[in-house]
Amino acid sequence: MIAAALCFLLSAAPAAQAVPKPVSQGPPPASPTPKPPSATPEGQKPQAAKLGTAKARTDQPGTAKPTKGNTGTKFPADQEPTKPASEPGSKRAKQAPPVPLRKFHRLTTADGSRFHLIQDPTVAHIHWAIASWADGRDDPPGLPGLTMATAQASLAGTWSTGSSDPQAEREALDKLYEAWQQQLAKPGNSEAADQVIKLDTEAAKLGDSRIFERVLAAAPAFQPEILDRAPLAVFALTTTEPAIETVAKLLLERREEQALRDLDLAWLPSVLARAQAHALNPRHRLHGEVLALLMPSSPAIAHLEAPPITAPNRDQAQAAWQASQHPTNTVHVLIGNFDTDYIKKTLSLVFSETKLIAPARREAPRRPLGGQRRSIVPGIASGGGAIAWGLPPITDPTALELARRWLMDERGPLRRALGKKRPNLVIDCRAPWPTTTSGQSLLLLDLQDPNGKPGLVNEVIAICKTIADKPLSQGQFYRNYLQLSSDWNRTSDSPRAIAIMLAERALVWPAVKLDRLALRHRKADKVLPILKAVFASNPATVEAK
Amino acid sequence: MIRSHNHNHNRRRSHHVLTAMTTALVFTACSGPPPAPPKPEPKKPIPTRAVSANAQSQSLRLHNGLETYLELAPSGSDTQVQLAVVAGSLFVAPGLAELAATVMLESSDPAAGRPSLRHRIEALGGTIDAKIGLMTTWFDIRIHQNSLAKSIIALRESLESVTQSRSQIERMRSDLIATLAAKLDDEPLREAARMLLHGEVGTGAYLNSLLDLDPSEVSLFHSRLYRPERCLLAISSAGDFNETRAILHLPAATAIAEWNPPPAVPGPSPIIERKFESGLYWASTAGRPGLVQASFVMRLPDASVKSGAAEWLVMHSCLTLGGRGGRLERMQDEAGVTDVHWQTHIERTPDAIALVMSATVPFQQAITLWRVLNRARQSLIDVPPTPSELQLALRRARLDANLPGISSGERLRLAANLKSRGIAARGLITRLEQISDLSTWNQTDAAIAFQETPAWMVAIGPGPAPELPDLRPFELLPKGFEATIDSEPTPAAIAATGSWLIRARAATGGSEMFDGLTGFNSTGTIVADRSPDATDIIVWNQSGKLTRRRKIVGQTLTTELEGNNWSETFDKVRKSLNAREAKLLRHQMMRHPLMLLAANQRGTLQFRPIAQRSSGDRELMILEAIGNEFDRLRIHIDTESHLIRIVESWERLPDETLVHVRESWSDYRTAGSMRAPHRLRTTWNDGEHQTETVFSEWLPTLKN
Repeated sequence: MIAAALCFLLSAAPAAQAVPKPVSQGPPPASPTPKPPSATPEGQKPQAAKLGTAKARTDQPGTAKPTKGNTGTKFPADQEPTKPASEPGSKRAKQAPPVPLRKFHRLTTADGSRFHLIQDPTVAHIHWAIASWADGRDDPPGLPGLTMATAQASLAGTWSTGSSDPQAEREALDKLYEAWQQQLAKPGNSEAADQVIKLDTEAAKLGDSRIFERVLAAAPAFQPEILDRAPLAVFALTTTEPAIETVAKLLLERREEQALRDLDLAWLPSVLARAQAHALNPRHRLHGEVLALLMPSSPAIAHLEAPPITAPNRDQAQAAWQASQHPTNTVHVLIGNFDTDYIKKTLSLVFSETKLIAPARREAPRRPLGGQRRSIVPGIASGGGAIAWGLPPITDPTALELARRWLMDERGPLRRALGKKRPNLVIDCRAPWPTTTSGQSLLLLDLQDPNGKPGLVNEVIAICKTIADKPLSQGQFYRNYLQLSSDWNRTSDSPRAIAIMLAERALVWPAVKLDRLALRHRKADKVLPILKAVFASNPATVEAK
Repeated sequence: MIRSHNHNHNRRRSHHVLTAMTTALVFTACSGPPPAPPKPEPKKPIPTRAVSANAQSQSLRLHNGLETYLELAPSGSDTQVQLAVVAGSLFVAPGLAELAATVMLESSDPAAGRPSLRHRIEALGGTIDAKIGLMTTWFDIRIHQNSLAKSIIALRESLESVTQSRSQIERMRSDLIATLAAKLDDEPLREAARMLLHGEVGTGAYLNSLLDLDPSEVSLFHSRLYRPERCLLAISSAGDFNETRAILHLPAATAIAEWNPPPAVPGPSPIIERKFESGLYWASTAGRPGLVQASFVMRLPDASVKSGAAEWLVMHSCLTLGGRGGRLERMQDEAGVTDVHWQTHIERTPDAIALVMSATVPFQQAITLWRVLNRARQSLIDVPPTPSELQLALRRARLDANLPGISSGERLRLAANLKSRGIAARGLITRLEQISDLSTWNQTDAAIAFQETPAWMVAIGPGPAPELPDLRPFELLPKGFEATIDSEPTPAAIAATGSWLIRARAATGGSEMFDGLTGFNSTGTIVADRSPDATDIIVWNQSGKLTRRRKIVGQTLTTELEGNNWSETFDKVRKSLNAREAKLLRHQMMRHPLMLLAANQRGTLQFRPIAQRSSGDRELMILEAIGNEFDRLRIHIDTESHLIRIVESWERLPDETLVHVRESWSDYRTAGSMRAPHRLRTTWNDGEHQTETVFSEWLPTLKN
């Protein structure tokens, strides 16, 4: 939730920065810092002017004379770098050092792939993240989670890399999948199980699932991995600039010639994990009922239900993979200290066409309510309920996130109003929920009172109606901003983690520019309109009994 | 066919950490005493030095000896503040550096109302963490640029007021050990790898070392080593250098440039002789029979290794390309181990970095893998890498060379380290470029030197360790260890306390009396240092209702708690209390020995056994309360009289500081139909503050 909600603070131009500008400098021409030259240069790369190249300063003395104590508000003389009066570079030395700049670029290649390129002079590698939807929109009916499983199996290789005989291997894998479906349809049948083992062994002779990662490692690429950031799948790796063309071609191959070997190793554990999660979280039934009331065609509903123990066939798996990985449905983010022209040129050359067919997707529409809708779900011992309102169009995800945190906060409006009467109140607020493009979904409040006092849902609805009517100070959300800031700082140490977060953000909030929003405080006049619009609408309520 | 050279495969590869780390000594211009052997240096003025070799960074030594490294960050970046102290895990005793860093982060000063450094940084929206290396400890702060000044002030104030309270330090040690134990439970291979990078021989030994430390050692560690001349402050900020320098110097009362601790307590701070001992480290633990968690841990060089680092990286890449391919995978296949799927990660400390490859494998396969690792390393000599292998490896090495600085925090630490030692930041990359011409270096010499680099295998699983040369058994956790803080007590443990509590009730009135005990009325006189005497008349009910009339200097302060109404009235002026204040008052009443015994009888409070100890001429049985009401509340029951002599607990004050309260109860006398203590000595934080209460009257309230 944090990764999906955090806004990135990077700003391209000095004018856009939130911090005070250095007073002593004029804007120097920006140019990238020197990069390690490659032994085997790939393509033609113009060497841009270097910033901050280390040069021996012959005009610096070795030591300065120490002086004692401070002298008023000036720095003590012993703290200043002292220079001889007639040093040759004194004019240049008085100029403030040029500020390193981070630059943002966007690129859409001929095949429809969208790239966000962030040139950062402080990052030695290139971190590459690709985000795609795995929320169920591309899952075949009855196979929720298949898209994520195909993503997780995608490093096992392609028809070009890892197969000794692609045609034979395709046939062997088709037979294996059929046998696998038979096995799941007849649990405990030893013949079916033996057949799976036999066909698996035969298929393994025709394809090696380790080769693709070995080739990536040699490119070189560090730690290629698929992350389950439900409802997104994110692929990430780290590489170097000279290897960009090689890595790009391998990623294109992964997309276009995916063999989906070892899908069973990804699919079955995911089904069992979801079954376990469903059993351990009875409140999923509440949430599923909320969606049934407000977003009945949402693919998230299937993910909230107990998963069927079944296996896909190869066509279904390939269809899910290809739909989710179509260039128009993914976002790439690259962060590093690179030559932007070279990277753009390389990516444009590599990602020039696709054989994948764009899926005909429909966003699950939200059903506006003319009045309150209520439902009761029996058999949930923890009690309480779930309330959901439709979200208005969101242009500022940070403001929404602050609102969400504030609603859950121990000093937020719900606990303040209900804390004495319900001291053990448990509040979980999710927004946007479920995660969809541009937040076109809901704000959900899941509420529990372990003391079991009745009337919780009605009380919360009544409080929410009045929230936006009360005057709030402009600094009302500052505490939540500090928490958000702290969470951001916890993860922003790693440029790779930043690339992953940005890829997620770019996919979920395509209209929000990555380089325009900074992680800065939002005053109440930015957050309040969202709360007003949300709580002015009719909610759907599902109570647990 | 591999030609075998006449090498002794059983030869232990011992790598003097100190030899390796001599080159890792930071702050070469430190004027503090040399690390080993320590000897006092004559005082001399610290020369001021300002170097500006790179326009985007500056180094400066402040007049208190603190070295600083300032770096310009791209605009819009978060600000990083890293304080390095030359006080790593090799200093004095194992675990001491980590505990000292924890104490630095978590120390609070209740008397001054100053919360911990961690709390202060988080209250600014930042984060702080301590990274322990062999020679250095780094405090890593990430903060918004606007909060830089406040974070530096917090740093200085924390450096100047690290707690010396034994109880506070012991509490922090308990928390640290519980955290480490939890990590060992979750990710034992990762923790084992981290220990190896500290030159430790096992995680159990490390925890034992922590348990053996005395709190006074922490205070000495801080006094002798946390000093400005042993520190480097690295700041990466989008603000300009003038602004940052101003923050370091002004205002004088709080500036870090004015941090001047009192003279160090005399005495040595020796460096532990420690070696990286390659080998197979095996821990027998519970787990799925027949399966073992195994990892290869291979140290990698960073730019601070002056000689041979490039060649080392290339040989490593011939061995494995970040856990895939290379000689290792090939020889695994030849040995029939084809189904291992390695998960790789990089394990880091500020002074060392290693590639870790982990997997769960059958027991016998673990032994095979150890042999494969050794053969693969040896094969680099027996069958020198081909030109194509070397070109692949060189390509990979260029990526690996920058792994030590892959995160912004590590990059800043490395940059500051290199700058401080005058090592060119691009030295390693430059050397890799030079050796891309294979004719300019001797690959066989490099392969031979590579055999000396540390490489370990860790195996953790059920069953006895196999008998192999180079096998080093270790304990994952010390024998009999239980991290009592976070672990759930077993029913047996809870039941074991029953007899003690029954006897305690019998000694003070019997179970029937405790069945009806709902509260008490008392009158007591409180005597404290530097405060006038006060008299408290208390009416307390277990429902939480309290009325306390405190008479002091002829005035009466009335405190009333009932339900959610909490107030104090003084001179007809009524003031509301907040939830924290009300909780503190209620806890004071609930901690009365007889109220604790009554709560246990009702079933609302259970205990677990901690220890049986001798204290003076008494034997005391110590029980700890379970549940969320109290924070580590312990009662000490006299094993002879079965009277509760001591109640101790931690309380959080309204300003978020933690205080340790120890209440010693004595003078048990008849009180109505029960027997109750009539004297109470209360000590806060090891004697920071003490009071003595003598009860002229104490009567139980019994329900009819």
